[in-house]
Amino acid sequence: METILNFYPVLILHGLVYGMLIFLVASGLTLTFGMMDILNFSHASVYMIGAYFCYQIIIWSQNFWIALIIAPFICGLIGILIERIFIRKVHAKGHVNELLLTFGLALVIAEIVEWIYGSAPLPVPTPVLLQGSWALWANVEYPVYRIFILGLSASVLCLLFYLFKRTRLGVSVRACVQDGEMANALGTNVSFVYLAVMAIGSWLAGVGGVIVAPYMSVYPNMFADMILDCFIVIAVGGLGSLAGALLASLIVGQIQSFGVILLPQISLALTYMLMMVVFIIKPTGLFGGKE
Amino acid sequence: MHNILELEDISKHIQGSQIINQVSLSVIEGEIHALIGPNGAGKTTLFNLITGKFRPSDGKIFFQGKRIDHASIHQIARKGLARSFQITNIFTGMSVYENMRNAIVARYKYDLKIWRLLKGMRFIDETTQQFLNRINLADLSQEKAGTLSYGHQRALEMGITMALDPQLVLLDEPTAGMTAEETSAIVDLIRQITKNKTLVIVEHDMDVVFKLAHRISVLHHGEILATGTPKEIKQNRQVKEAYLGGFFE
Amino acid sequence: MRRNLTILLWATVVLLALLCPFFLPRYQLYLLAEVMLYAIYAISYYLLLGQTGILSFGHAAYFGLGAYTTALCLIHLPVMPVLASIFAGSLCGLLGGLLVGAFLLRLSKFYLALGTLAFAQLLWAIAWTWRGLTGGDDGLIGWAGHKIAFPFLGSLGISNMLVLYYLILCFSVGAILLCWFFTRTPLGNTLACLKSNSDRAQFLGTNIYQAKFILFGYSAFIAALSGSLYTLLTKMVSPKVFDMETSFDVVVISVIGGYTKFAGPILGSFLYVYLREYLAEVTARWQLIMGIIFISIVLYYPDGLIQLFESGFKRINRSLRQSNA
Repeated sequence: METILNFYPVLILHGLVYGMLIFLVASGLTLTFGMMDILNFSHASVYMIGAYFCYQIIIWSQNFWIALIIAPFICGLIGILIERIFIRKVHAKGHVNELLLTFGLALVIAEIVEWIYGSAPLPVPTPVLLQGSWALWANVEYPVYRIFILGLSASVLCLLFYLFKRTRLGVSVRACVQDGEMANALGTNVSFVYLAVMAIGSWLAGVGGVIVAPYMSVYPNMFADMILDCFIVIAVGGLGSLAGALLASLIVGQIQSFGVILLPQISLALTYMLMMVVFIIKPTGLFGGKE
Repeated sequence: MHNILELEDISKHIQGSQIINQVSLSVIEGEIHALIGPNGAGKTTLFNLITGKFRPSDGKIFFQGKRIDHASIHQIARKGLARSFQITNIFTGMSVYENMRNAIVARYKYDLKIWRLLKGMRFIDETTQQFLNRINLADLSQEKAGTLSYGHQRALEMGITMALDPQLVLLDEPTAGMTAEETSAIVDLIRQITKNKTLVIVEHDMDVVFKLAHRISVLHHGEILATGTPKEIKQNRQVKEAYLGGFFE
Repeated sequence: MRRNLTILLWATVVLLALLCPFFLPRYQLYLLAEVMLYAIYAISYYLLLGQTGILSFGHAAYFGLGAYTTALCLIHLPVMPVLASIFAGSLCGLLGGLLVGAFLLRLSKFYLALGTLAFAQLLWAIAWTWRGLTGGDDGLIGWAGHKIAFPFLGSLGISNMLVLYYLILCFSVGAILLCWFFTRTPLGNTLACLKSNSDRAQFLGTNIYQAKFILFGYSAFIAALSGSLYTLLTKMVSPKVFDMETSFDVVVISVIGGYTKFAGPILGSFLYVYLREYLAEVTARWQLIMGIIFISIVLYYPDGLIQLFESGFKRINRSLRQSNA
């Protein structure tokens, strides 16, 4: 009886952790689509770059915290570069070209990563401060590191919320999501806002990459697993909707967590089935309005 | 003489604002009915509602006595209700000939056939050629539609609509952006090809309206101000007040 | 004139293909068979992407359905003739395509691309997990001994490379002709309209959903055929036939060859198989090079490498006409 009582809260926590991780990456993706109408298949590659930078920086400095601070900014930069150098050239030619290009980019980045680091998963040590587990409540112990992930992503979430609701930049971003042309006409520096969104989105993906590294190791195919989850989250939550992405991430996280334990045979298929169900019921996603 | 098109208390709100407000309109079979009003009055929205692109928030639409307000775009088009567009909406990547042929194929309901080659269907080629001749674009038939001059594109736009041989035609500002010459050519064309058909035309050019229309409806802020013959509309006080007389001088 | 030249060109290609076994070693025949397999796979994809402008990231779903269905028929229904099991595979693919169409064809570009990927991944997950049926991760083998009965030649084993080569050649010529025919039907024209201006097509009275539905079925049917032939060629099947790489392969092939022209995917298959073969000998990073080529083509040469042939072809055509005049 005790084990069952302990069981469910742990599963829920697992689900939360994974859900927040997906949200960190998916948020940037849904924003760049909602605002800039950019379909970016390579967004999860930025996440992967963040993870590998974390690995590399830890090898150089033995310090996880330095990685946590530096890597996301490098990712933000890379995100901007990808947009400037590649996406810009193709955006005007339509969605198909854009998807193809970013898809190609994702493949190439994965290949480069495999070239440098090989195809085997590389474990990343958990920082000393965050090792071990805490007793949360009666008989439930939970790894500190995962609690840290929850804490960090929750803080980032609050930061995002504050940014969007309370700052001028946030207002500009929301204006641009609604109607970019109008915002431009009213004096918003739309190019700057686009730049900011791209940078922040990639930064978030980088954060996700850094914190997932000790959690699940780094491997060259991690972009594919993440992009699939992101897509499912965005499809379920609706393109362009942050709230939708958050809700969907939490749902997907729980499904994955419970599914693996309770229905292992079809756990792989569960999230796809979720997506198909949503597509049937509401083709533009739970909160989506844009086609 | 009966009504080929009837709108009963049609309303449409989009994201909180009332675009169309309880519009009731009847179009008599065989007439040319003009829809006028300032920009933003809701004329194109009304067309979108009639042709199935938008679903009305309230009210009913009847075409030839049958309800169509919940029908899909292609169903309505198949029933014999065709429209042209204010912003030219043709197949820019395809040739003029192919553009026209697309309409003919659809008109003869061959658009989903897979057992025969398109090339072998002589009657389709002949009908296509006929229509190209009628709209005077036969010598441009091999040109890519996107490379045509504005006037020619508008002619093609209308030609495609007419090639469907609809009973009711909705033309959305067919003379928009045209010179006086082009306008009069288009008006002649319209007169010719709508001989046995009913026509609802949105227009800003008042000369065209008074030359062609049997009846006029005035749309203002999503509501019908008045419907009547050109003479009646000219004398209507409400209409005059709405436009401070500028419209009809 | 141009049409005759094109026919002549293709006839030459087919003739060369027929004669290959007389001067090429077994291994080269295997490669050519692979090229033809991929060509079928890619031309079915052309109907979606090139003809109609629909981007699908899960085309492997039908490839895999064809592959597994044929394999299962060969294993569990040994009385069934090999050709019938190929047909069964295609049929299964057809059903898969219609299923996908039924659920996904109303979706816009992004959702469709992902929905198709999700479906393929779903099938991959099923193949991986349902060990009883599919052998799971290990896959299925055991039909190498099957024979096909031919009218004049008697019973020939499918382990005979010659038999396989000509079989695949016949099927690929047939499939390519079928797809060519498809693009020339009224429906093919309608699909081109959808690509050009789907909105206007609706206002002409075309039921665009029905059109896409038929397209999905047709494309899946042909794709599954290539999967069935794959089963015969490689004598094994594993969940790999459903995986992302298989889905992405056809995208890469189509883009490199040129996804807007009919001959593009065929050229693409040729280049892909041989690049993979010979580049892999030079460097382990051949996929990286492919990726870079892919990106360069999307950026700078979006009509694909078939454009080079087209320009050369036009030049020949022009000089022929001039010499005739």
